[in-house]
Amino acid sequence: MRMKTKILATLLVGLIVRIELASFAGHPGDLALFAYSARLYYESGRFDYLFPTLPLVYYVQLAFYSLYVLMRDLGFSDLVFMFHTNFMVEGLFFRIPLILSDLGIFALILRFTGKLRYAALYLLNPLIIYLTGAWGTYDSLMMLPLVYGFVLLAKNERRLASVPFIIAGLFKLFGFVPFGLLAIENLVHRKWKEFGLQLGTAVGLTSLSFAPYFSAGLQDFYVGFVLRFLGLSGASTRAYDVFAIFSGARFAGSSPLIWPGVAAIAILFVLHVRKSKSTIQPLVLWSLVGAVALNAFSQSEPQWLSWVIPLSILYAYMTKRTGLAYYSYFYGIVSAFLSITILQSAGYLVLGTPLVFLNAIEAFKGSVAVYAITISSMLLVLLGYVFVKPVRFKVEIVALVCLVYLQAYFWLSIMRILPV
Amino acid sequence: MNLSLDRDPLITFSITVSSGVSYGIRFFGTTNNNASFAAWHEGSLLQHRPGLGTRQATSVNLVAESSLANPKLSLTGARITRVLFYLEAPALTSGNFVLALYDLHANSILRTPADSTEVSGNFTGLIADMGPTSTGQGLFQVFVGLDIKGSPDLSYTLYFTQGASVVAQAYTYAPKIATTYELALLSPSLVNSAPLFTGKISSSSLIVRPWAGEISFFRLDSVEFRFLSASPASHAGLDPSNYTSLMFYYFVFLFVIPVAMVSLLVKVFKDADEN
Repeated sequence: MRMKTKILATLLVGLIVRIELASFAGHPGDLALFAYSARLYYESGRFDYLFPTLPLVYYVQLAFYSLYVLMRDLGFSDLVFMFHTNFMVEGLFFRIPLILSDLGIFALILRFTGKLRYAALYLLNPLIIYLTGAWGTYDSLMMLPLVYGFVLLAKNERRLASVPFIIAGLFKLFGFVPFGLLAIENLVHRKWKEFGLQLGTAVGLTSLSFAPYFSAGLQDFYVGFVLRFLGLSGASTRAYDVFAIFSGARFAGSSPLIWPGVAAIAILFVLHVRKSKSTIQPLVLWSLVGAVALNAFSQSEPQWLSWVIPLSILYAYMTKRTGLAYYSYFYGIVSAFLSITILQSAGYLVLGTPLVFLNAIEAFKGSVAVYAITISSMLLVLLGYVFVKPVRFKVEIVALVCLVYLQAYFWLSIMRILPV
Repeated sequence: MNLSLDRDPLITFSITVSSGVSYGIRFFGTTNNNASFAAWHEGSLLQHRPGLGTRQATSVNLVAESSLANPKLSLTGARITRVLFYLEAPALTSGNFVLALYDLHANSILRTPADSTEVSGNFTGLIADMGPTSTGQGLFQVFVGLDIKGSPDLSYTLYFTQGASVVAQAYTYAPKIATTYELALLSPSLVNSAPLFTGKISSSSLIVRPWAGEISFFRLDSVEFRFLSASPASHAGLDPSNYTSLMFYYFVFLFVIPVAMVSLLVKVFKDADEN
């Protein structure tokens, strides 16, 4: 089979599974939020200052939603499937930018590595398909400019690379991690002009992105969003990380533990970058560690688990760690499975209402603790693949993760040795 | 017992129940016309509570409990005359179980009316009367902008109620260092408790309930109600036996096809790329 045919076949499979899932499944809570804000804008002309996340996501959604509004104005009648909060085709329009982002990341990885299987490990990763196709959450929007930033950096386009990192950060704050590390690297090498340009671009793009908020609503955004992510919010929300689960602590947004974690990553990055001849390798490595740290110490929403996947693939290619790339695929399968069965119930995204199909793996006592332990263990194994000498992905790893899950299930759910 | 509901009584009891079993508390009363009524209902947080093996203090608003159980009953002149504690163990459970009641007392709620959206003093709860609300559409979210100050240990939550029913609840909040302003999000999906105090039965209310500490200053800055059009789900009546087929379909597209394709690619490319 010719290479082009194989690429096309992979693309088609990735596209079909996403569109198929997007046509009927969806996260009723998140899609209701997106639908409300988009409808508010197009039905009343009101910009939603209480949009639940960063405004760049809203702008992208509004752009694609306009096509749906046009269809509705032309007389198209949409249907609601089962107990979902949004219309079927309406939900599909929220997924178009996410699916396009996934295809873009596929193309970037393919171009960067020249290997279809690396690109396929991203595009056909069940966690990524689950998030963009079934759930409808927007992490891919952030990961597209993030990956593009690394590709530019590999071409030594340093100044240009910081722009996609900023854009990634304006979709989801994690994008500011490589941006911040790049800024630190500029400071370490006393590249004051570069640092100034980088900072100026960040301030400019951020201000532009928040322009509608300057006239109204900045206080609500500051309290409802900024303080939440700085760990200074007043609300005690849910958290899925292992520390919160076992300590019983309810953090207001991010845990205070995140600050020592950020400082440690910055210091280790500086030490690494001083010894390294290239910038990109330490930058990908410590961004990857940053993603793991965020999943270990902060709210650890299940969609955040996807951030390590493209980073692992890029790092695997750069350091010839094929095992890491394959492991990231296995990690995606297990993460998607655990998120579906433990955090949401199998029927939630499909039917639009929580519905348990298999009590034994969905509705057992201490389930969130079992989830947190299994996810933490997988992240630890991932760090093992990153830091220990390159090894192949072996079936023993599958057995190990299954064993961790079963042991956690036995001790925490059946024996109930801890009140979790 | 003989507690007049006209006096807005709040009952507080302290209890220890063995772990492994459940317990509950039920109230019964008579109306002004001497008709009996049950002032409890299934689904209430006072029913089937798990025993923890440690002492727990619980407060109950008797007007709210009576209204929830009997929405159409006039409670003017009604009285609570009997209280029942029960202990329940699941089938095949054996052993000695204890329900120890240490204290049970009633207090009248002291209400201080205010006409302003801003109040100062020492409060253990705040109720803002929001008037009658539309019930034609499903409530999606309520955003409440508020300024709040209180004791250092203050932690509180907000409820939006219609009569005695809790329609939406917020997360638990604590005062912040950065600002006294808070933007609280209330959602029907967050409801997991009930306020101690209720507003007018004929009206909807916004209630601030401290879990700990006292409120010394409160200002209601903004309230935004969000309703999501409740579109008829034409396929909601799908036969539950078809759910399994739908789930099968879902898992095939999510796991089976992608994994099969990747396996194929890895197998096909193994020789070309790895050697």
